[in-house]
Amino acid sequence: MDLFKNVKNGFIEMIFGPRWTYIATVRTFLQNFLSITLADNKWADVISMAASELLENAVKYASEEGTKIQVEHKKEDNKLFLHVENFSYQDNIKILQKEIEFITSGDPQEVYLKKMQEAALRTDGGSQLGLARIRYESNASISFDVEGDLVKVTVIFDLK
Amino acid sequence: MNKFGIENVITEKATVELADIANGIKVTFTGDIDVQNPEPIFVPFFEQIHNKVIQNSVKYVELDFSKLTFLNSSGIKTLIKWITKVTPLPADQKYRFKIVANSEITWQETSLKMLAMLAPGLIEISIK
Ligand SMILES: Nc1ncnc2c1ncn2[C@@H]1O[C@H](COP(=O)(O)OP(=O)(O)O)[C@@H](O)[C@H]1O
Ligand SMILES: [Mg+2]
Repeated sequence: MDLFKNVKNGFIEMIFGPRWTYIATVRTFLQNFLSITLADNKWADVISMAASELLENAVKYASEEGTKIQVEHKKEDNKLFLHVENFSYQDNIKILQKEIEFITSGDPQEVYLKKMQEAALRTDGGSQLGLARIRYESNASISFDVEGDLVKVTVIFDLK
Repeated sequence: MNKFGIENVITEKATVELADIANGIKVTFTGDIDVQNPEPIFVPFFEQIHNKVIQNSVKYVELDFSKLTFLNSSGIKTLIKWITKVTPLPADQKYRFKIVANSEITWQETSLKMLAMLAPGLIEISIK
């Protein structure tokens, strides 16, 4: 029983089936919660936007049940960790890996503009804009881990 | 109703309304655009406006986002598709956009500024 021992850092965890209708609810909750936790309301907006984009992906590209979101505020480092996990197919995981490599390779604004120019020409449903948008709007670092079919995308916001 | 006779878009969480203004037309976005696939809803609507604007030699389109609280990246894509239809047009058919953004809605300044960068010289952005 360590309920009251972990009060140093704020921590939220939610697990749900991959359903589109949960996304807005989670986004609104995070926005409200974080605007109390964090001094600057802008961060609550940016982080809830990022969570929403990541959850959209977790739902769109899920291969089976189970979506998990974790938000951890490391007060000492003044950083916030956002993790979203889902199961997916290997081809999507490969695309995700390439996307993350690309968008973290250059200046966030240039990368986002490039992705926008590409999006203009796309005729499929995808935008390939979500991850580039998160990086540009937050300047956060984005990474991911894979274990078999399980994907975990991590965004680290430097709240300084 | 507007002079083009185009119906507004009304979804569960968002409305997009078209209205006549003195020097052109105004499109007002309200609510949250966060559906999984906004393209079938918005792309035909924007295309209708685009075609009528050209047919009627309208030169000014105002996009008012000040009441739009959320727009997902697929929604951003539908706007990109509209704006990039205008850039390759010959000079006599081109029209200008003015984007009205709300400084209290954090994503607007950043993402809407990028839309302006997509079509340099064509889009003016006003942040209130
Ligand atoms: N959680 C995820 N699981 C599996 N694949 C993903 C995930 N997130 C993103 N991807 C892959 O990375 C691509 C880029 O994601 P994103 O930038 O959000 O664009 P979009 O959602 O419009 O496709 C997606 O098209 C998808 O192939
Ligand atoms: Mg996405």
